[in-house]
Amino acid sequence: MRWIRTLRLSLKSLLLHPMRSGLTVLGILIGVASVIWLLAIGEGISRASQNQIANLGAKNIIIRTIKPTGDDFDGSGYGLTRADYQLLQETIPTVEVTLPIREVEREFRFGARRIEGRLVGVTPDYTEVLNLKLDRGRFINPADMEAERNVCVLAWETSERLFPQGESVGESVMVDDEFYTVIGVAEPKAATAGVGGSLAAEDFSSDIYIPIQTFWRRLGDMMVTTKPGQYQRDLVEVSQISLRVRERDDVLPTADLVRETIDRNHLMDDYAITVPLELLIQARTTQLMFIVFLGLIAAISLVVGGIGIMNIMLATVTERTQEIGIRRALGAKRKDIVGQFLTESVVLSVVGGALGIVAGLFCPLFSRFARDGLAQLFPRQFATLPDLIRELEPVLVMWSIPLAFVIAAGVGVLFGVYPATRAAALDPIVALRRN
Amino acid sequence: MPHLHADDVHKWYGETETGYHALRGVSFELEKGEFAALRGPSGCGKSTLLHIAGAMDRSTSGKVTLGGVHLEGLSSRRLAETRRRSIGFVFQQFNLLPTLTAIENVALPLLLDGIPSSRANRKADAALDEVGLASKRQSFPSQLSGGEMQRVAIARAVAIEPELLIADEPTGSLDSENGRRVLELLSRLNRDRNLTILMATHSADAAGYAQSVRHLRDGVLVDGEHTASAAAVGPSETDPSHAAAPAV
Repeated sequence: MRWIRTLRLSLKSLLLHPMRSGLTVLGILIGVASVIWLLAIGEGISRASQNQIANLGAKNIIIRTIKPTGDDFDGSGYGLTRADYQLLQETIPTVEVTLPIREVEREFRFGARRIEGRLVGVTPDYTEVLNLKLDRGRFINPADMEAERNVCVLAWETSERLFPQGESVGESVMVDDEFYTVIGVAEPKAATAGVGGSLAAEDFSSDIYIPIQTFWRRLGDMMVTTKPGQYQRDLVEVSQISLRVRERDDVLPTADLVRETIDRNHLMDDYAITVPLELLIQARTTQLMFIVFLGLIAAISLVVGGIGIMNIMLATVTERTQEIGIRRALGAKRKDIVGQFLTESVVLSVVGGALGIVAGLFCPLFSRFARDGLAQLFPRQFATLPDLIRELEPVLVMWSIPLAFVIAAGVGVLFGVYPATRAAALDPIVALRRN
Repeated sequence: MPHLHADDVHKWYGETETGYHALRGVSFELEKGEFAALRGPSGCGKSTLLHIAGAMDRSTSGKVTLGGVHLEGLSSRRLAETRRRSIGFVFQQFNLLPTLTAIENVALPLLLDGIPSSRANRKADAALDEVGLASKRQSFPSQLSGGEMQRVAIARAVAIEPELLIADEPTGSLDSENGRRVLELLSRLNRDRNLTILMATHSADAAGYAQSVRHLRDGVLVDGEHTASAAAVGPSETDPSHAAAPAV
């Protein structure tokens, strides 16, 4: 087989200069590995941000009260109202569930134990819309709402901190001057990251959930916060309204309808609408840009590797002028010479590509190792890094492996063609004379 | 009909008329099985003439015919094919590939011609055997003496069973003993295989092994005399160990 002979000959020639060949291979290895690594890191970051958005619910629309700023705010009531809630519930047919939420920072007490937390007024739909699971007991039901009962469900950590020794269900937690009977404890729920500018990060770990009717009855709408040097009054009826749309396809038109409906009743900028699906679409666009950007960086490193190949092959052609002359004198065709030198450059790039793929496959392992190492060596600095970086899990993009390999081989051909044709163009007599 | 025929061959390097006129109307004939020497001082055009006769270069004008084929009319591809199939080269500097073993060097032109490895190796083995280097088949050039390297180069040239063997100063890099052995080998191949040989040499002793000698001076053949055949020397061919340098 002619090509096996050419291949064998190429390997033999390349092994004559192991250091030189090794360094050239290293250039391609780094290029290919960086293609795989950068795409894996890009995919990891993108998936993490998409997961965060997806956790908000792709079929949800979230409307939140925000405190208006500017001259037209007179310090009186602001934000979403019970009327908004009623209007949304009754007028938009594509909405399956409408969930009002009212929340406020409060101190929770059990005996001598006191903790700060978030008192959240909710309806029974809360578990479904926010995907909250119960560890034990039950959640708030319509009867609790109807009767405006003083019952509450504790977040896992709230329960652990208020009742470190024993069972919380059945006990009573004191908030302001009211007692609330614990009817259930939720499973731990991961905090969500802030999304866009409209939705702040949310930590569920110190929550206590009570029926929203009870909230409105016992706590009212006026919240006064007094801290040393600070006095704040907030007149707010509803902190957030979460809507769940029946069909995913209806989410975006429904969001437009919701904007129009709410906007009609609000003169100030005192609410913000977050549509996770919109963010998801946006995130995918960003991901594409990200891939293009990272691909560009990887491509540059491959081009650098390719130039390395060309450089080495040009040096090889000069060095082996005599060999080329001898072969041509013995009757080798130009095609044979091109084939021989091209095979050598392709062998370099393919070996570099294959090793680069192996190095690329170690990306998740190496990333974990580097992360753990940094966390141990520089714990303080590491803690200040954004979550996305600290919790980064590169995800290997499978198509990047054949792509990287094809690119590597292509680089070998592309950057090998010029030196090979230069070799083939040598006049046999001139080539022989040069030595 | 002569086997190799050069008719009014001119070679200019650079522009015709203004460049260097290396060959100035050279004409000669070589019969099949003739062993001819080409003598002349350095720069007289010996190598240029060998390159043209060996299909490595083209004349600027004039005709060269090998076995009835006009070399001027051939494309580069066909010239390469002619070199591969019909012409064996022996160079002063041996020109073996250092990365290949003796047998691989000998088999190279056969492989370039697309002959399967097994057949090429068989032929290369036979050629090495013929030059008395069967035991060195796996040696690399760096492991061989100068004389051995030139014998490997001769084996490479004859392995393709050429119509013409071109030898450019084949003894120029060898000591007299090795030079003598190489010349005896060429004489033997000429006789045994009826091989046509055109050899350029400075040495009168070397030229003495040839059946005819042409003298080249300043790109012109100054005479075409046929010398006494080296075959007449007798002992140098029948018994190389007792060879004496023949007179020109």
